[in-house]
Amino acid sequence: MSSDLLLTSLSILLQGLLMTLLLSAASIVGGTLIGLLAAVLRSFGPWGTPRIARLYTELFRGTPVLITLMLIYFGVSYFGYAIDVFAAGALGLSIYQGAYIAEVFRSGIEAVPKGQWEVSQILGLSKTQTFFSVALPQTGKIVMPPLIGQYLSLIKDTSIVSMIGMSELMHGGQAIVDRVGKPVTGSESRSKSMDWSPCCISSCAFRYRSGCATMIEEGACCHDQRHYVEADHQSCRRQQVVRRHAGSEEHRPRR
Amino acid sequence: MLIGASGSGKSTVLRIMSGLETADAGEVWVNAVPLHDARRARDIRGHVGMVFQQFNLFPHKTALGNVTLALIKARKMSAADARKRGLEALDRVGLADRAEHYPSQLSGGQQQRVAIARALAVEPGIMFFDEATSALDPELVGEVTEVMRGLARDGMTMVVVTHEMGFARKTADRVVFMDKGVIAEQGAPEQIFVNPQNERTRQFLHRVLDH
Repeated sequence: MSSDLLLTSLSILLQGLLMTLLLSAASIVGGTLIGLLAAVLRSFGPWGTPRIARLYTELFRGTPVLITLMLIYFGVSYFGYAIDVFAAGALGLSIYQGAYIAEVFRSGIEAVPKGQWEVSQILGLSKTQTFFSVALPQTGKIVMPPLIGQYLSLIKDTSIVSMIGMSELMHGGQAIVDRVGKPVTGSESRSKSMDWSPCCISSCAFRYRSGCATMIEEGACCHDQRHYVEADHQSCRRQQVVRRHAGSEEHRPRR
Repeated sequence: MLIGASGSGKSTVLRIMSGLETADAGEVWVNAVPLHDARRARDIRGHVGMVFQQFNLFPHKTALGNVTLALIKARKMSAADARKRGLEALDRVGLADRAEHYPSQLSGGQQQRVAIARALAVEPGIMFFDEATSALDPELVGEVTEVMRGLARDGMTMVVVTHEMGFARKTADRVVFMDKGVIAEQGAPEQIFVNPQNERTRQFLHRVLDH
C-alpha cells in the first residue's frame, strides 16, 4: 500500500472520527436536556404538558432513527429552508435519544419516595427547590447506569447520520473501502488500480445500466482495468461495476 | 395523643393538620391558619414540624445537612447561621457528635432523632408525630420517646399518633381514641386508660394491653 493512500485514508478516518465525536457530544448534551425537560413536564408539568411529553416519548421511541433524521433533514428543505447536515444530525439524534432519556429520568424521578416530597413541603421548600435539592441528587444516582447505556447507544447511532450525507467515521471508512475495493490494506496492484479506476468505474457503471451493449466501450474499460484484472486472475468480461449510490461505488463480479 | 386501631383515621388527621391533605368538609385551624381555605393553606408550610414513621431523611445529606437544608433554602439563612442553629437542634436530640454522619451510618433511633432535630430547627409552632417509633427496634424506642418527653416538658405543642400505650399514658395531656374516622372518646390519660367509658375503647385497650 502506498504511503499516499495510507495518509489519505488516515486523514479521512480521523476527520470521520472527529465528526463522530462532535456529533455524539452535541447529541448527548441536546438529548439529555430534552429528556430531562420531557421527564419533568411529564411528572410535574402544568395543564396539558404531561400529555404532550408523553406523546413525544411514545412518538419518537416508536419511530426508526433513520426516519426521524430524514424527516428533519429533507423535511426542512421541503419547506424551503436550508439546514446544515451536522445540525440536522445533532437535532435528529437529540430528539430521538431524548425520548429514551426522558423515560430513564422519569423512572429515576419516580423512584424517589413520596415521603421525601412530603417532608420537604412541610419544611417549607417549594416544589422547584425540592426537585433540585432533594429529588435530583437522588435521581442522579439511580439513573446513572441506564443513562450511560443510552449514551453508548447514541454514539453508535451517529453512524446512521451518513445516510443523510454526513461524513462521520463509518462513512469515511466505507469511502476508503469503496475506493480500494476491499476492506483491508490492498496489494500493490490493487492500490494502483484504484488510481485510475474512478473514471472507468463511472463509465462502466453507466454501461451496466444501459445493458452492456457496446463491445468497444467494454474493451476500453478492460484496457483501463488491466492491472486490477490481472491481479485478480479474472477475465475482463467477468468484471462489472455497479453504482451503489452517489459518491461511492463497489466492484462486483458478475455471474 | 391520638390512639386507635389501624385505619381509624389517626394519620389522616395529622396529614390534614400539616397541610399534606385537604379535608373534605369542615374547618381546620392550625396556628391561626385556616387550612380549609385553599388560598391561605400554603401559609402553614415551614411553620409546623412533622416526624414520620419512615424518618424520610434526605439520604444524600449528612445529619447536619438534613437539618440545615430548609433553613438555607426556604428561610434564606446564611450557611453559618444555619449551621449554628442546626448544631443546636442536633444537640437538643443528643446527636451533636453525629453531625457529619450520613443517615445510612446512623441507627434507626438516631435517624429518627435527626428527623426530629430537622423538624425542630425551623422553630415550628406545633409538631406532629406520625407513629414515630413504629419502625424502630424495641430497644431503640426509648431514646426517641425520651426526646419527645423532653420536648413536651419544654412546652412544645405536639400532636402524637402512637401505638406505645405506656408512653401515651405517662406523657399525654389528653388522649384521644379514634374509631372509624371519628373521635370515640377523649380525656385525661388516667380516665381513658383506667376507666374507659366507650365500649370500643375498652375492646381496643384490652386487645393492646392484655396480650
